Amino acid sequence: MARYREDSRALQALVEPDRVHRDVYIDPEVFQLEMERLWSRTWIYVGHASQVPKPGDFITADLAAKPVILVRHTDGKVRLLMNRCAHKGTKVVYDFAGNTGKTFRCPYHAWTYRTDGSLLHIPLKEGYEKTRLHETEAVGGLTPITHETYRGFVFARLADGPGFREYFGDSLSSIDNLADRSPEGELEIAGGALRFLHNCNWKMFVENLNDTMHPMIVHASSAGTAKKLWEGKPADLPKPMAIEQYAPFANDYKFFDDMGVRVYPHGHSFSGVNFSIHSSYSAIPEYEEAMKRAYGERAKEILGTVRHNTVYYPSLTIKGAIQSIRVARPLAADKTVIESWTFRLKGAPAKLLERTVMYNRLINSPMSVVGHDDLHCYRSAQEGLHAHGNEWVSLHRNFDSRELEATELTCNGTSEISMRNQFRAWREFMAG
Amino acid sequence: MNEAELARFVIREARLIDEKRFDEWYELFADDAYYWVPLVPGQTYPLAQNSLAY
Repeated sequence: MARYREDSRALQALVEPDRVHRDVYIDPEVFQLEMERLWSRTWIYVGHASQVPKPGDFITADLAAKPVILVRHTDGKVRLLMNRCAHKGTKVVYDFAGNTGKTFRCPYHAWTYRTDGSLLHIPLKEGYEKTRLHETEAVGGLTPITHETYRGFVFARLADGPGFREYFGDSLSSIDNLADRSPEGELEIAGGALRFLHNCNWKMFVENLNDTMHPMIVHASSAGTAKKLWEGKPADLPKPMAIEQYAPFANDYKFFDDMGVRVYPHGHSFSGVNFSIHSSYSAIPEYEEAMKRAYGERAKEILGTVRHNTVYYPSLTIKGAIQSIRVARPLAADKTVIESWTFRLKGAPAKLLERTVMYNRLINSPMSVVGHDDLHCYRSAQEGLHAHGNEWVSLHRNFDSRELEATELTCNGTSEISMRNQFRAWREFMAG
Repeated sequence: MNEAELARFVIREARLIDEKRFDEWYELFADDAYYWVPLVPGQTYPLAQNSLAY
C-alpha cells in the first residue's frame, strides 16, 4: 500500500527538527522513494579514477540499486555508463573489475559497444532494417550518466539535482586533506576491497560515523581490552601499531566532546575539528621528511589536520588521517553492503599503506572485533524499532533551534547535530 | 605431524573455540605462529593487502 509516494506531507512529517519516525529506517516504500529521490538527485560516490588507469579498464557498482560501469575510454577519459544492454537488459559486464579492451560485448546476443557506450555492432543487422529499432533508445547504446571527478574521486548524479560544487561546498576540504597527504598530491586505491553485508538500514551506518557517544560503550570489549593490555607499560616502550589503533576508541566522553563536529549544507559533516582518535599515532620520520620536501611549511598544516570521519552524504565516508574510505551501497530497507577501501599515498613510504591496511583489517573486516560491535547495535535497532509504544528515534542531544537557520556550524563533538543535519537534507530531497 | 594428527589438532582447535575456551585455544599457538585469513585467493603479502584477519 502506497502511503508516502503521493503524500509528500506524510513523508515530510517523518522528520521533525529533533527526532525521526521509525519508517525512515524500516519501511520498504520509503526505501524505494529514497533511491528515486535522495540517491538519484544527489552526488553518489562511484569509485576512484586510479582503479581504471588504462583504456579499457573498468569497475562496476550499484548506485541507487542500479548497475553502472566506470570505464577508461580510448580517449583516456573516464566514462560512466548504465550496465544494461540496449537489447534485452542483460548486464554487459559482471566482474567487479577488469579490462574489456576496446569494446563491451554483451554475453547474451553479442551486441557490441565502444567504451564510450556507443553501439558498434549488432549480429545479422539486416534483420532490423525495416523495423523501428533505429527510432528507439536502443541506438543510444549504453546510457551515459552525469559524473564529476574531484582529485580522483568519481561521483555520479542519476537525475536532475544540484551542481557538484554547490552540493559539496567546503566539505571537499576533507578529500583535499586526504589527497594532500601524498607528497605527490595523488592517491591510488591499493590492497583490495572489503565488502561486508550489513543487515540494517544504510542510515544507521552513516549516522554512526559521527556518533561520538557510542565508542566508549560499544567498543569497551574490544578497544577497552587493548587499552587494558597496555596499562602500566613504561611510557617510552614503543606501542605496537595494533594497540595504537584500537585503544583510542575507548577514550572518554570528554575526549570525544572536545574533538568537535562541523556540519555543512546537504547533510555533509565531519567530526574531529580539533583532533581525533588518529592524532597520537607514532611518527614515521621518513614520511614527514618527504612531506616537508614536497610542501615546505604547508606540510605541518596538512599533517596537523587529523579529522575523524567525514560524511559525504549519503554514500561516502572518508578518514583522511588513516587513508581509508567506506562506501554505503543500499540494497533494501534492512540490507546494506559496506565497502571499505584503502589508499596508497603516492610518493610515501610503504609503511603508510601497511598502517591503513592494518586499520582497515582491524576495524572494518567482517572478522573485526570493532566493526562487529557496531553491526550488532545496527541489527538490533533494525529489529527493536518494530516494538510498540514509541515509534520515534531521538536526536535531541544538544539541539538548539538556532541551528535550523545556520548553514555551516561547528559544535561540541557529542552533539547529535550531524544526524539532524542529515535528516534535514533527507527531508528536502524526499519532498519533491 | 601426520595427516591424522593434523586433523585431530584442527578438530580440537575448533572445539575449543566452539566451547569458548579461549585461554586454552590461545595456548595452542607457537611463539612464531601467525593467524591469517586472506581476502581473496592468490594473496601473498598480508601487510599491504586487505585480509579478513591477520
